[in-house]
Amino acid sequence: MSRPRIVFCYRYGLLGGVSAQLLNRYPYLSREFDVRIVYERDHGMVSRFPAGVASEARTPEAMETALRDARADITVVMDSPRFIDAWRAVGAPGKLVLEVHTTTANLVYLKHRDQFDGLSHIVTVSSYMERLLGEYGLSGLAPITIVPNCLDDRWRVPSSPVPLDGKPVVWVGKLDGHKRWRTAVDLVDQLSEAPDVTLLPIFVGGLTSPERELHAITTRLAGSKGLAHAVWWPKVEYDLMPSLYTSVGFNGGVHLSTTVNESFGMAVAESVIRGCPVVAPAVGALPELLPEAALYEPGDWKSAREKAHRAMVDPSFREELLSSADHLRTLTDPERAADIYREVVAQVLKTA
Amino acid sequence: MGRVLATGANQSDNGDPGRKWAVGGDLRRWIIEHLPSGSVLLLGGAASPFPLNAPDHTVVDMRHLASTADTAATVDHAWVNDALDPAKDPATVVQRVFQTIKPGGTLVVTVPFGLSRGVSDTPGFYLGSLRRLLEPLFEIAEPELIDGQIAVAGVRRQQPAGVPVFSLDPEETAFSGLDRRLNERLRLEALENVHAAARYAAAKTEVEGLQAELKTTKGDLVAVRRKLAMIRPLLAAPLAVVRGGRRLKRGAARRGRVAVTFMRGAGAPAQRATGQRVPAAAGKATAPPNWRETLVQDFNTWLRAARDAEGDEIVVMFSGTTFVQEHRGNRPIRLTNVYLRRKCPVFFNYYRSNYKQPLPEHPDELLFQSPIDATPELFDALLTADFGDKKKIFYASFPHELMVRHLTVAAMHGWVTVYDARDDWEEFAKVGMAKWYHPGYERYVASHADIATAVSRPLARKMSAIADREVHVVANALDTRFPQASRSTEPTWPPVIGYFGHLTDKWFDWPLVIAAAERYPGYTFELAGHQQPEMEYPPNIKLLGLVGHQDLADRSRTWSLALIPFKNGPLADSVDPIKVYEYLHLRLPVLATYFPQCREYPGTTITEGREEFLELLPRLVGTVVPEKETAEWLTHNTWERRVDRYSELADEVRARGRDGVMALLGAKW
Repeated sequence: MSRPRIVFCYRYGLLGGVSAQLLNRYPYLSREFDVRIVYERDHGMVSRFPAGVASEARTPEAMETALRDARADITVVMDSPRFIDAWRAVGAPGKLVLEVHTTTANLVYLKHRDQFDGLSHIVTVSSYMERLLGEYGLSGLAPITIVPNCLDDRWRVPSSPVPLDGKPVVWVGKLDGHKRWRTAVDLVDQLSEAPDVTLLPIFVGGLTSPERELHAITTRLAGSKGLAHAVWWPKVEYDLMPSLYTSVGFNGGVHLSTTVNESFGMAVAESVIRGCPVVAPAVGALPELLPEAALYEPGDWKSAREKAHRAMVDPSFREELLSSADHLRTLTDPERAADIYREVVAQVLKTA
Repeated sequence: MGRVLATGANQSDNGDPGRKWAVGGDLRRWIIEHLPSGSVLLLGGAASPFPLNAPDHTVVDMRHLASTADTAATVDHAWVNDALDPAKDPATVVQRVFQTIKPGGTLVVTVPFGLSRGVSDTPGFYLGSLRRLLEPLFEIAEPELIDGQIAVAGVRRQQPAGVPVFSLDPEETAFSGLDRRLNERLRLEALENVHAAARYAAAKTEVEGLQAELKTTKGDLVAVRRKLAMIRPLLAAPLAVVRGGRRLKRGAARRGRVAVTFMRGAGAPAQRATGQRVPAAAGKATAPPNWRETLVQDFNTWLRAARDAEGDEIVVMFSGTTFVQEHRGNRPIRLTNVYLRRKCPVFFNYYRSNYKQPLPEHPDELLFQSPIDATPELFDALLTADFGDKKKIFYASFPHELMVRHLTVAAMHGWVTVYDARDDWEEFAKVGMAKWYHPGYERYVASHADIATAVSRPLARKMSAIADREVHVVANALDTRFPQASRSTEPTWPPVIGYFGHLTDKWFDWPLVIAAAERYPGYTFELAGHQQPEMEYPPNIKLLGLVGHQDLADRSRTWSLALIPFKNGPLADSVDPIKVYEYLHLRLPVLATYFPQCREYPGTTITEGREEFLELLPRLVGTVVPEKETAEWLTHNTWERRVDRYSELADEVRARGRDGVMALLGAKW
């Protein structure tokens, strides 16, 4: 009997986020399943898979062709409702699995439950997301399974840290309101006033941000003495992130998160695994990843500031912030994620 | 004659009828059909369904209604329109109506079906629940659904058959839940529609703004074309231009695009060089439809050539001016030419105002020229490409948005990044140029580059203050290929004073030059260049138009003095005029306004005020520049030396590594 074929469908083929998850799972899932991937827009991911595994389908017609030709046993649609329409348009072949990662406005499509007729299973990444899907009324539609995000081996390989003359505070995200970059810059500016810390602010992300945000951040960085030596890197290659976090941790720095919400909190998990303590708001799935000491109430910026400062000066507090590292290593083990996924596949294929 | 007693849920305390709404269409007809003639109690917020002055019905003030016994059972019929609210004890309302209508009278009730008026915390009416409410007091017919309303008619019982109660049965309760969810979804959809409409309105406003801007730009373009038409007759193409043009025309025709120009500053250079006619509407020149594919193919060809090139450096030159042309003398082009002579490949970004402008062509396969609108698409492949062991250097020649986005990406991939401040862009922006300028961008690029340089000491000091870092002075220089006069210098008498370069009144000090011409009417002032303002000039000012380099060199042999008369101010403070090197190369003494960078240059006199300039002018006429000092100075100030300097600075970065947290970007040199 030939191996079951699973087709994963996602909007953007861009390294990081959901695409990185596909890349991480692929070596494990492909041992037992014939895995295919279709992106609506590819930005360099297709070439990262073995030839013939991944492809791009830009239009509804192309999606339909891709799904028809794939003759999948299971079609997994990841936060990309257009693929559901395409799947239905070609006669709903095989089983449909919905995989939900996002917490943003993109979730609105979940309200239109008519489109989920014939849905066999729902996969999501955290208990928080499972609850959220319940609130959207999806828990009655199909069984929900949590498959945590996973990290590939590069996150487990040690790297040599770069010594610095100060304590880096790193913030990672897009320059938008969801990640609250303005708040982050203000908090870091305030942290720089602490007399006992030589702060080295690092802001990462925003390569594709609108020009108005570029105006705003470059103006902000130019306008404060505390940010005079701050660096903003619109893009850091994913391969470089493990060593970046390692160096921040090694130099007594901290990762400050100001996010509005997270379905999983990948950057937070990556950071802690590399020995870089994180201070983050208690939102979304972050309480599942971080010890209570690392969390501040959303909007309690004073607490965020104090915890970030303490993380840089109090070794025992740093240890406490890193106490979830082992748990995160296990949680994000790709082998484990693949095991859970295999169970999902078995369950889906068993259903009539 | 019957009466219509008007009341309503909206009725105010003084008895005014309040807001009423009309019931239309099928429902109105149904009500008229079911209400017999006679006095009719109209309860609820609606206008009378009957025509005005209907013979059988009259509108009567409702303040006397039913709350007291003396008004009981005085009305023939009643129409209760949307006045039964499940949350406000509808049973009592029904009982009051029962008391008000005479036995045997007709009751018509219309209520919205379920939650069709919108979402609320209380359930709505369904057929069963309305029936259970009315039937104890009225014998009712089968309810009907009309226009989203439940319409029911009934006859008042002589005696109550029970107590009216509002309740939903289990089936209705379940349906009410579904109803609520559907309504919530409708509400959200409506909300989304509102937001979409707002986005549409905003986009429409933006489009209108852009259209207005386009209109203004078109006006500007018309003005530019007029100016161009005026200066075109002044352009006499030297023989060399025609020869060069013919040679390149063949290549361009072969590839279906336009070759580079050899004319300095011509308005439509590409077309001129190929011998093509410049169309009347010059802006309508179009690039081949597949120019983007051609560009990508050429880029890939260049990548292969670059890997195999002899030179040990590879260069990205992000320039904000025109493409590489032999006689365009700006700094990025001069530096590029040196690299090309050293067999070092160069990716040259140039500015074009729109994508219809043809791609330029250059005979050197190691030069790839990318228009700024296409560069973002090529950056990823360029910055991550494998160039073997070549040393990679990335020049940001102006602090454009693309540099903000990509400078540190380049650094991450092993490029040594340079911010080369070649002008004081802030001051240029103040005189209406460098419209792309944003101070945050310049500060960002200056502070994030591995190396920061400036063309003059004042500009270096300014950049250093802005970015809080070391900024090296790497001044402009002499292009050693700049021609010599074909014959020896023969200054004439009366003297001829010369100038070449831009004549724009944005920085050229016309009042000063005119004052000089008027004070020394026996002198002739020969000015070669373009963009002079339209006005009447003194007769001893001769405008030469655009002149090729060899012609300039030949003409300069009759000059007794060369001028650099720019308006004093912060813009000039930062300038290191390239022409000063060319004047000295031609061994012309130089009289300049205030350029602090040039203060110690040989044969060069810097003045700070108008009178000083005017008084020194005749004293400097015919002076001889110190030959040995000038020759030696020029030897040290060539573009080759400048490239050497950049190579040294880049090697230092590679040797010591990056500073501070920039070291975290890695160093894959």
